[in-house]
Amino acid sequence: MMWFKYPLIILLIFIFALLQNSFLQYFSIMGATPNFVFIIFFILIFFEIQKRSNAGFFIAIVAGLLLDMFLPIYFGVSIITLLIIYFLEKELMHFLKDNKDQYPIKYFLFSFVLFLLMYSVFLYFFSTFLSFPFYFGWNVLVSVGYSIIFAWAGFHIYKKLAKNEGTSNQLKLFK
Amino acid sequence: MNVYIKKQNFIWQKITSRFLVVVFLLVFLNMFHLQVRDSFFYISSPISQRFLIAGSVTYNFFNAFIYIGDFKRENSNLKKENQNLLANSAFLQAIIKQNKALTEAVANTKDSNFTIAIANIMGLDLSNDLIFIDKGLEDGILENMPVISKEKVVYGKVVKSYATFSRVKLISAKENVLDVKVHNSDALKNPVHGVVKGIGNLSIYLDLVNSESEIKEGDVLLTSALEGTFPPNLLIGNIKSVIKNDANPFQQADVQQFFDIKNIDTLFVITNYRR
Repeated sequence: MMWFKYPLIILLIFIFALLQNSFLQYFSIMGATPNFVFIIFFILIFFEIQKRSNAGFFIAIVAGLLLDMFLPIYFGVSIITLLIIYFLEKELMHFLKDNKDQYPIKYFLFSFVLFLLMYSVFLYFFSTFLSFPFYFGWNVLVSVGYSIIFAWAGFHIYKKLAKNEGTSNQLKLFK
Repeated sequence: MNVYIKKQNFIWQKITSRFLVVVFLLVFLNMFHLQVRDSFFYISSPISQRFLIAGSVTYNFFNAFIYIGDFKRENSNLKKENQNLLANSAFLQAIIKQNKALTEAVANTKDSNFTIAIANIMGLDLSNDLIFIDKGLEDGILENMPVISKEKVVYGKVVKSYATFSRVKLISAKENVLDVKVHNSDALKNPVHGVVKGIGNLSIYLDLVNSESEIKEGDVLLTSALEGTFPPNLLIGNIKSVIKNDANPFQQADVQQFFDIKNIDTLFVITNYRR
């Protein structure tokens, strides 16, 4: 039953990448739209069981590839950035992991905002060296705020779906 | 210890293999980046277009609610503007019609050397066969001036003139008498004279025609100028049927008048004919 997960993930990220670059453009705020691909990537790696880390690696590559597809640069910027974010997120979750079956939304949102901003910073960093247009200003903050709304909704939706599979990614800080 | 070393080796192998996969993938993608992008957009464009259409429709749907206040205001303004334009259009059309009527009237009366003043009907009193026109003393309209249409059809005469409007009695008014002649195609023959009397309700009839004179259905009646109010040869009507009685020394006739008060709004007052 596990085999269909990977094609399903590819399809899901593909659809949301197209939505982000077509449907959502009509609902931009100050030119910013939510980053659906990043949201799905982050939700999937956040709920990933620690022992099974291959899926996260795969998700980072697929999500990075689709993000790069719409950027006017060579492939690799988003792929590398998301892989870095993936490994950093794993380390962060390692410190916060607990065995209790609860998902503190605040840890999710905190790490989501942190890594989304990190992704924007990385893009800006690469844009200066690779000479592609990327405007880093209020639009980034608006995009983060806009994305939080959908990330919050995605978190609760996936939480309900993942609960049945018995996944456990308890977070507890300062026990 | 062996287990620990094996585990470390396994982790390094994993890291190395993943690193190589990423490097290989990036090299491959960037070598064929054009083909990769072309293929991706070729596959995704039908779906993307559907999403774009859906986005546009959804946006316009919500836009209607957000800007409904503006739409209402704009709609109200457009309605007012439309009404103003319709009013202006009607006004301009009336002027065009008036100008056209004046041109025709001038053309029709040029041989008669009439001076005419254009006037609009502003009221009707059909119970008394009266009409009101929008010209009066200030426009040089005096009592007993004839009123005709642009086709030289007689309507009546001015019976009372006020400052800015005048009252006109139609030829169909009760007890109105108008001297007429029957139009004869044969110019050498003596014209047949009679009088047109008004019976009210926009109706007239021909009377006091010599019983020996020949008149028939369809004959056209014209003014004869004998009584001095109307110039000669203005149109009155045509004979519908002849009423002849041996006991009566005169013959009569039903007349279909040419004036049509319900389908006209511009008349002309002859201002320079008075005897």
